[in-house]
Amino acid sequence: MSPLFTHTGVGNRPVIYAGRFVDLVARVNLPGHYGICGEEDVPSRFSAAVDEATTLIVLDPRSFPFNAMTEDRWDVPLIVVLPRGFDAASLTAKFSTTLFERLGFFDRIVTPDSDVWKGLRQRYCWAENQRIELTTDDPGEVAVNLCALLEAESTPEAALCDDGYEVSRYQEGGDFRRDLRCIKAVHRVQAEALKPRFVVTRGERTDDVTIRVLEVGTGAGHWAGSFDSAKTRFFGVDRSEGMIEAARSNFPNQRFDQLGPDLLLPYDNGYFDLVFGVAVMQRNPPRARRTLLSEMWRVARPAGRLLFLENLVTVSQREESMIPPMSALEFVDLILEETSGQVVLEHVEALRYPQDDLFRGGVLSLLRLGVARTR
Amino acid sequence: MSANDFYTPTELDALRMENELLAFEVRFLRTQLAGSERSAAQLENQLTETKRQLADVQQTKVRLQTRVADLQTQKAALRTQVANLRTQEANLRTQVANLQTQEANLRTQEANLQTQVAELQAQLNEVRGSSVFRQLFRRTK
Repeated sequence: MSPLFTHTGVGNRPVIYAGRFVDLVARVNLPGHYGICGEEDVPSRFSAAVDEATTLIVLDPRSFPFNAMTEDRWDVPLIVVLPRGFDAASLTAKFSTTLFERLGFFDRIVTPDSDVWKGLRQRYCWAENQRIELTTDDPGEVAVNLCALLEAESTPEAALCDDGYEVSRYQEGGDFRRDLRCIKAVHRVQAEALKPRFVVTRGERTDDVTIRVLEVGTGAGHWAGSFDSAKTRFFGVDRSEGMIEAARSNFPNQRFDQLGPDLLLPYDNGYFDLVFGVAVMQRNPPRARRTLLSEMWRVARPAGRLLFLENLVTVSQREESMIPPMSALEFVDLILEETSGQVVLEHVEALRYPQDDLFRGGVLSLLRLGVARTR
Repeated sequence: MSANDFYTPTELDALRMENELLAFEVRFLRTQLAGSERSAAQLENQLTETKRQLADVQQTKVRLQTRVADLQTQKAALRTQVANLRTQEANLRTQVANLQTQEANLRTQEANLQTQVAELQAQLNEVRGSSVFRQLFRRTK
């Protein structure tokens, strides 16, 4: 199984919700720092455990107290063990709004049934590597196996990728220590800001029209999960070969290309309806920023969109870093220079990340000027 | 918003960037709001113009309806004329046919008469060639 991208972070405090199987799980030998909650636990104990959890393993979704899950608590990375003996349609009917629609790239789903996985994955745009396959259905053994898996992923870097690339998209320095729960929370805030922009890109076009979307600096491709592959052709580019492999493995139906050192995008002029990047410019030196901006503008179609989510407020640069921080005004000036002003600013939004005092995200959406060709 | 929602950055750069980001967002929102107000004024003008165009269209519609009624009356009259002309055409065609028949008969008669003339000419030539005629012709001469 590769690559793994969840869940345990620094200050590891996983919690197992065993539900009706609490007695079976209590009998097995688990690491001492794992918390176990049962069906009979009072809501306050369950809530306190989840508030502190770095990962929440849901062994028994059928008895899970969904009403105790506040917005903040959904930020904990989840490993959900699907109950056996149900097909995808039955599981959807039971858990669609309460659970499945809440699960994203940083959560994982345990099921041995490939048909169930295929049905749910397609419906909820999950990544292929979110699946965990376990042969046993004994709750105690499942708990032991999942604990072993989590222990093997003892750092966010190990969980996400060997070179820590994906983590570095979120960790920009400073003394704020982000575990994967924080990363998921950041991603939630980013998704809340970006998804309306993604919807705007489709506009009034009917569902039978496929739109083309390009993510620059795609990493493991997790934003591909925000687009329905039946209606969108998603392309991702990245400098890292390892991340491109991970992205291809996560979303085999989408296209991912490795970017060369010249940073030139391997696509025709005006090919995409939307070209976007999340935390890309902030991680590149000024010269590379200019090249990327120019290239992103080139491959966006006239009347298409450019979308950026960058940390436009950050702590001062580390002395050894060659990458200066970038303010909103500097970024806008850069965009205007590299596009010769051939863009219209469509949307600006400042983002505040949960429990984060040092960084602010800025969303900038731009329309490329020109007359759209009809396709 | 509670006091905890604010923070006090110690980094001057971060503070500057935060100010810039928020100021830029405010500037954008203000521009957007001004744009909305302009849009409202434009919509008002557009509404007035559309109402005027609607009134024009209604007047044109009345004029067209009157014209349609006139044209329908003319159409009925023309149809009657067409029927009359068709009857006349049929009569003329019959007359033409009769005249053509008469012409054919006359041509036949002409042909017959030409035949008779030819026969008579032949008979005359025959008579002129006979000895009796020659003798008669000499005496007379």
